[in-house]
Amino acid sequence: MVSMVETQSEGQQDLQVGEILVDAQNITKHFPLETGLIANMLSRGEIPSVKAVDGVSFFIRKGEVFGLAGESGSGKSTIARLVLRLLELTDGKILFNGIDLHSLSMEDMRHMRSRMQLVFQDPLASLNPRMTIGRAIEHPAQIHFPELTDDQRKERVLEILEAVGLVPAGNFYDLYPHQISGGQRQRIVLARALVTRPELIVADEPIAMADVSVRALLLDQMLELKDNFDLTYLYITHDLATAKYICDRIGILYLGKLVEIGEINLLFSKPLHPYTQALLAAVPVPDPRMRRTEALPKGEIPNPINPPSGCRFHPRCPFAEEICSKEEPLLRELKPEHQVACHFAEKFA
Amino acid sequence: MQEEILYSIRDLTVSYHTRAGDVVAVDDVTMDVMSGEILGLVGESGCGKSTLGKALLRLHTGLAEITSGELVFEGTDLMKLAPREMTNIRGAKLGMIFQDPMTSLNPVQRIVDHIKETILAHEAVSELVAEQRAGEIIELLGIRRERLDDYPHQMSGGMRQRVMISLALALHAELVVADEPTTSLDVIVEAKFLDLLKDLQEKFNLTILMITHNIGVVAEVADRVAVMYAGKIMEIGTVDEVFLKPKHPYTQGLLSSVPNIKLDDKDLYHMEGMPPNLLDPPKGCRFHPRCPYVMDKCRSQVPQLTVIEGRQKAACFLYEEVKAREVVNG
Repeated sequence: MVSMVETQSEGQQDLQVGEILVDAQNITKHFPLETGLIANMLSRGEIPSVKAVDGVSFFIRKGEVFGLAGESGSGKSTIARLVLRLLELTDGKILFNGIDLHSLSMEDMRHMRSRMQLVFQDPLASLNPRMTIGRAIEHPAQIHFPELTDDQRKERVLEILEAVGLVPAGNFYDLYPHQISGGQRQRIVLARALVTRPELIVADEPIAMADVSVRALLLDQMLELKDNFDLTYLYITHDLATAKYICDRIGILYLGKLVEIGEINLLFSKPLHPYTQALLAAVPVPDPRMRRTEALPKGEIPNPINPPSGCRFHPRCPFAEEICSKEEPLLRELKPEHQVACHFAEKFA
Repeated sequence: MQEEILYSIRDLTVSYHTRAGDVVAVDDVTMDVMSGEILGLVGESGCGKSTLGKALLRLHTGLAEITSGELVFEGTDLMKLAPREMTNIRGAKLGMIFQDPMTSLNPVQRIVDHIKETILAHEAVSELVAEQRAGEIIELLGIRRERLDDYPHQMSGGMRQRVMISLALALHAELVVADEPTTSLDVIVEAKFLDLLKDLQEKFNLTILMITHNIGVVAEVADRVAVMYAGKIMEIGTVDEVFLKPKHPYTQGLLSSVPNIKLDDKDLYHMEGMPPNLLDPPKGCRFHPRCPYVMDKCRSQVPQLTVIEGRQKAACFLYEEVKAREVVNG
């Protein structure tokens, strides 16, 4: 394991710095509320909406693991779907290898999809119980590479099965999802994502369902596959401890806004946003000598239909002053590789 | 810590009668719950921890059956009680909260009615008194009294979980079995709920059996912890004993495979293999196929939970030899 982490950081230095795979610029997604005809007429066209993602900008470098973390309703899964264009943007732009994704025609987008894949939380729910593992992995290849013969396709599936550590691959090819273990299922889901040789894997809570004792293995396997297949990950999670383990950089979301973004160790060792500080302090630690002593923020996450003015965290922030309710703090670079959206971030630096 | 036993589980075995055969989910478990403590029960999915929790209230249904054992609560073996008597104890003295409060609350019943119903089912008081008490309880739990008229869907997940515990407190339950109570909660809400549990423990001397897969949660709130694997208790002790000096190889592996956000530890342990299928569990020690220290004996004989040091017990033959040597050396 130690040696693997080392090779990982060496690999990073080899990359041309600044080569960006995903560039999300001011992306916004509002979901209008279904209010019905009469309510719409009464509201004179101003339909209330859930501001799930509200002006978020970030980039993902080639070859890195970029994390997005936040509590439920923070917009992290919506962003994942916007990056894959499984949802349409309300505003903003997403560049993938410099190509404006959301301006592509449906046909062009379909071709683009082979280069980006999504891995979900529950592997059993994302595998068809009546499809053999071989067929499940073959399926995306059939769609994206119709020119391959049956034998070539099968060859490719066996290769991938071996790559994810399911050996002998021939034995797994004809099994059904219920015949294998949960950890193996998660690898099947990864194998299926890899068969189209994507550049980007969007992983939405990929290990949340896995048992504690196999999580570490799955994470290390994801890192290994990243190196072997030259992948880039967008890792969506609410679990900050595993994020720290796997991510190179991370963005912290609160109510549809990015409050802080930076290199993972910088951000976790010295969080500059009061929300990040609270979030990190609240994570239960598997050591009774390190029990939490910090106070927790008051109240609960407000309604995203009517988010607070100014800084969205101000009603719960222990450091809030007048300006926080009036002016929205912009994301600014306080240190290299570390940006924060807080009027008073200097005092935590 | 209090040393009085509140609930004593003796040789408890719970089986599920499935078409494929009997699954022994809880296998000959003996364990004491001390009065006023928070006892963490940790284990991975399918280890039997939830089945054990439900059995304490004799809440098992359907295919599950308590095939043997005693459940001694305040001197009475609950196994000997008639269903009617058990119903009286359940709710009044033993409470239970589940992972998803939304499925435990009635969506078309207001919060106040949930609490009132619980009180009126067990006590001969007027509706007015019950309503008054409902208000007091939820205020105590940090929910404003006005919210009593809300329906469950109008509340946040954290509040719903507070309502669940209010149902246990309404009747001054002595033991609350909490099955993954914070698993559906966000991390800050979770931390607040854990603070609340500790508060209740102190104020009311409430005893809590906290069932969870989250090792961190146990380290954060529990006084003692029991580690369960494939239907058996592998180790039990105070949190300091078990977390700082884990004895059973399973506990050791489990603890070192969990990342600690406060440390820069990039070296997580990979445990070999998977938990066994309980339809056909391994002979001998159930952990032996995954154990790095496996000995011949482990493959055929079942190790018993024995005292290792202080209050710490483990079910592992590794320590038997150590013990034997100590005896020889006097």
